[in-house]
Amino acid sequence: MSSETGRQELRRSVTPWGSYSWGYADVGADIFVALGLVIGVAGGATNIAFLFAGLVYVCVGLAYTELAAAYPVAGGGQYFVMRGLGDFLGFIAGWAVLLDFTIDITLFSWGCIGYLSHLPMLRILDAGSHPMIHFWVILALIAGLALLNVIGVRESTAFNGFVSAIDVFSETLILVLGFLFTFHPEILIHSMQTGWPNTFQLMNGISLAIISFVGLESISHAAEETNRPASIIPRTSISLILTILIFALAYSNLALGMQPWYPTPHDAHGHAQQFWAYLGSTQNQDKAVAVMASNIPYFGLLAAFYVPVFGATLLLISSNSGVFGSSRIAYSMSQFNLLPSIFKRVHRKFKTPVISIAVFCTLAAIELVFAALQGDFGYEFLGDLYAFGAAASYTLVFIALIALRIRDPLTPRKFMIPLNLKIKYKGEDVYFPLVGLIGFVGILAILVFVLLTHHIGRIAGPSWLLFGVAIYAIYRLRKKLPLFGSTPRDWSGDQVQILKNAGELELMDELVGKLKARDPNYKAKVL
Amino acid sequence: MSYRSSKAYVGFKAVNGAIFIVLGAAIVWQVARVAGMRFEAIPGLILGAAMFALGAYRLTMMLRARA
Repeated sequence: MSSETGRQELRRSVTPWGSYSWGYADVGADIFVALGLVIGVAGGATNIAFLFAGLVYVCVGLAYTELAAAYPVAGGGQYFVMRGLGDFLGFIAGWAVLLDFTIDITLFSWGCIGYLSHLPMLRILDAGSHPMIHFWVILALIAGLALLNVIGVRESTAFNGFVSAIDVFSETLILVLGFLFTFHPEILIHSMQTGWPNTFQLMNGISLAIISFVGLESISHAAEETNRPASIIPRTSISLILTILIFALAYSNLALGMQPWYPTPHDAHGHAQQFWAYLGSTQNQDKAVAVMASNIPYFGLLAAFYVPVFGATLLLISSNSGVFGSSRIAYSMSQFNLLPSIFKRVHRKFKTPVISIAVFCTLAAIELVFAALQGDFGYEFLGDLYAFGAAASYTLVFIALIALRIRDPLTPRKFMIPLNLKIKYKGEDVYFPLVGLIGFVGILAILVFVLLTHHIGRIAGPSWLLFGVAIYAIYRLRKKLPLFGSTPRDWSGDQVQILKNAGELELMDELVGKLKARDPNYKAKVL
Repeated sequence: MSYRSSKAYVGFKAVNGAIFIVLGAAIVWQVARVAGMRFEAIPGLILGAAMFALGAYRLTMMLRARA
């Protein structure tokens, strides 16, 4: 169905479980990547790093839930920021999300191969011992994903649901057996006392821990394809937020308090090392969960084969969602004149956004080259950029949340973040979100940590934004569109149409009633 | 009948909720026993409490679905 503005609408057929599993397929895999990276830098404070990032993530998740339920259109952060803060900042948010999606392709492909390399018969794929083979296999994987997306093969919601169910079950099983057979609070306390990092490392760890919670864009993607999203999205995403948070906290505490089944090998200098240090070493960073699971007594025999294959599958799906997500965001941005219309072009035969897929997969391949040049720190380099993109876009989303509460108080919000301060603004009642403010401070702190502690991220991240701004400026000037201003749009009319398309007819009537009360001559134009 | 009120789904929620309650309580008890109220106990206590809360929430949902 097409709306007044000419936006293409997607069919709304996603169920509550489909909506949950869509989000879980994106975010659930993050712990497989983040755990090793965070332990590598935060050591004995890994659980504190996850706790801090987790609290910020709860605020981010609540903000996305409110915004996706109120504005159920694909586009996510980019759409919310554009609507609340204008075209230029909307572009910045979208461009930061695009950085994350391209990194997602490379980072998760790297992780996928890392997990496979834990299998005895596939040790040849290990980054440390065979870097060239590792590089070429990841490159081939990225090319393969690009090809699959061009010909239009994509995992279905049913497949996502199946994988998510297996994932929730497997992650729970690892935790239950891990806590039951290997967890010793004495070791946890000892690890925290002896492995406590310095302030710089702790800030670095916290900024990397946010990686564990990236992928909330999928909530808004699911919202566009869910019928009656204002009711369904809050229910599924709050459950999703809680599950992801508990898994991240549980894995980090288990990693620090675990008595492994096998003796921990000595480090490269021949010194004895604690198990968490072994998990965070460069040779295990990209397969930490598999190493952990294989050290659970008895279950480890099975987990040594099962978890690497399972983790690799999950990470491959996440990598694929990076290819799909980047083309979708670029498509959405070009619809709003934030990117050239070439990104809207679809393949004549396969009807897929072939230019977007080719451009962003090429960028992912370039990022892989830069990561490979970092040697042992390639994985961390990708993690740095991923954290920068997430922190930058989430920061803008919080400002957009506050701005939309003030500028658009009439849009019905069936779900509102708790703890609001009622104020009057231009004659309207406005509910100022205190949790949004707390989240903003938290995510801004993480952005500052990224800039302070990631020596490559602080150069490469802003460089990516500057590169995007240059493309944006050339495009907008050529199209004679305002550079820092916004193209005039009828947001109220669009919102009525969006609610109608979503099947939220009561909310649509409520909005039309409010608009008529404000302007008696208002006439809703709904297609 | 929706899948939320199906026997298998309700059973799964009940078992899952019970596991998280037991695990959460055990973690809180163990960490509190070893570390008391020291700073190092905080993440373990929060984790245990969060697991307990998630389990209780799932059991409540299950009971509500049965009613």
